[in-house]
Amino acid sequence: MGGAEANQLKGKAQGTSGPLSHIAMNPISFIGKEVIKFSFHLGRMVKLLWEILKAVPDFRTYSKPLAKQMLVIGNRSLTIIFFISILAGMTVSVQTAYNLKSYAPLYFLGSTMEKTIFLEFGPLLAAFILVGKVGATIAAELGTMRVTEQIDALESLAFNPVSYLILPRVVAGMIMVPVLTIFADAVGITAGWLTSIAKTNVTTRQFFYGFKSVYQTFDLSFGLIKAVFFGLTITFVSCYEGYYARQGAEGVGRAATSQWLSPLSSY
Amino acid sequence: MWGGLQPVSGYRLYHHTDLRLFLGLYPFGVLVLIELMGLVKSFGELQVLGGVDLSISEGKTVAIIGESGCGKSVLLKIIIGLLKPDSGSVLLDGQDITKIKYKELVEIRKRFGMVFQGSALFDSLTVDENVGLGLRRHTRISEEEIRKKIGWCLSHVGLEGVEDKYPAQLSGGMKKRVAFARAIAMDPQFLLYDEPNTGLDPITPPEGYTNLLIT
Repeated sequence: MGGAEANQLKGKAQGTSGPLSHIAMNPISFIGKEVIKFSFHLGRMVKLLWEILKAVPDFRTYSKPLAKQMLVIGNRSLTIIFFISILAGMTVSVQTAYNLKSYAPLYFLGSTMEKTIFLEFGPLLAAFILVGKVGATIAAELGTMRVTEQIDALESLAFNPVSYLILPRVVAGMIMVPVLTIFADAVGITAGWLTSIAKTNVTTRQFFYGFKSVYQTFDLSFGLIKAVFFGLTITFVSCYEGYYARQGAEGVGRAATSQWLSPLSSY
Repeated sequence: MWGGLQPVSGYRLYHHTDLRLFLGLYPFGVLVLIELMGLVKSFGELQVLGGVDLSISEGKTVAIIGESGCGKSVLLKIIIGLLKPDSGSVLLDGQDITKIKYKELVEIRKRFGMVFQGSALFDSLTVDENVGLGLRRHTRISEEEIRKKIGWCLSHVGLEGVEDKYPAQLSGGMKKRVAFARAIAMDPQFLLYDEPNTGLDPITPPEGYTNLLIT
């Protein structure tokens, strides 16, 4: 029996095995390594963010890719946001109607729709679609460019890769997520309204009375501000993961899947 | 491994900033444009370059030959500033490019053309966009002239009529030739070529390649 196998059996016998046993055996070393890793990534992210800010005046380099990226983000997300927003609007409407049935007047449906969709669902849905479809694509795209030396080739052609690759994606995200949020808001509210008048006794007039009675410009603008930060975080984290991808296809795969928590971090 | 590397040309080499050269004290001297001094580069515990000294003079073709993984590509990437050496310097016209600001380095890179080992064509761009990328960004010449230049570069490597194709639609050898066309599009002063024979048609090499290999 080999030494490693014997250790594994010993670990199992003690109720600890695999990576957990390593943590249990050396908790300080584990925490130390994690802190170093976290600091390293944080430092590199701050550096990349600073480079992005420095690249802002270089409009000539990123103007064309920016237009392309805005189109890509919009095109890739529009259909799915449309369907998900319909489902969200219908679900909120049906569930609210069910819960309000004997406790509050039905025009509250409009009020609930306004608050739920504008403040939360609109930006969050747009962000999750973006992270799932666009974020993964950005990370995989940049990761592939890194491991196939395309980023090096770009630098050899006297381009700043941050201006040409990262900045347009981040700015496109910051512009397009709010646009997609407005679209998600409009589709969600419409779906909620149509479901309400089809499935409950509420009329269009009552629904919009409830909607208007609680409407504040702040609701819409707050949702849009959130959307801007979602756009920034998702695209930035995706770009970061892709830009620093290593170790061939495995690194690209890791980059494409490790950016999914970004909307939660910005939330 | 690299420590004993000597200039291939066999001439006595002097740096062009050497005043004695201009005073005519070395009438048979050759203008040195790139000078590597004591380059050391390691990746983790693996030392790839162990003190490389090399001088490259004007108009000369220098070939660096070595076994796989001995650091030839790393050396080229250090010359163009894509990698930083752990120690040593890369002098270009007397200026150490390992110690200059990023903006200055970008300007210096305009004087280089580099063909990468795996071609490194931008797969989201067509051949035309790949070859013309530097021209469209760094020059103010008209689109018509840019297209003419792209056409010339492609015909120089024996590729015509592929302007609208994407790299995925090309064979490995064609990709390498497009990468070569991209590297020469800006009329670089220095051409760095990683693995020049890979993908080259051994029977009928295009004119541009033949010139490169026999210079």
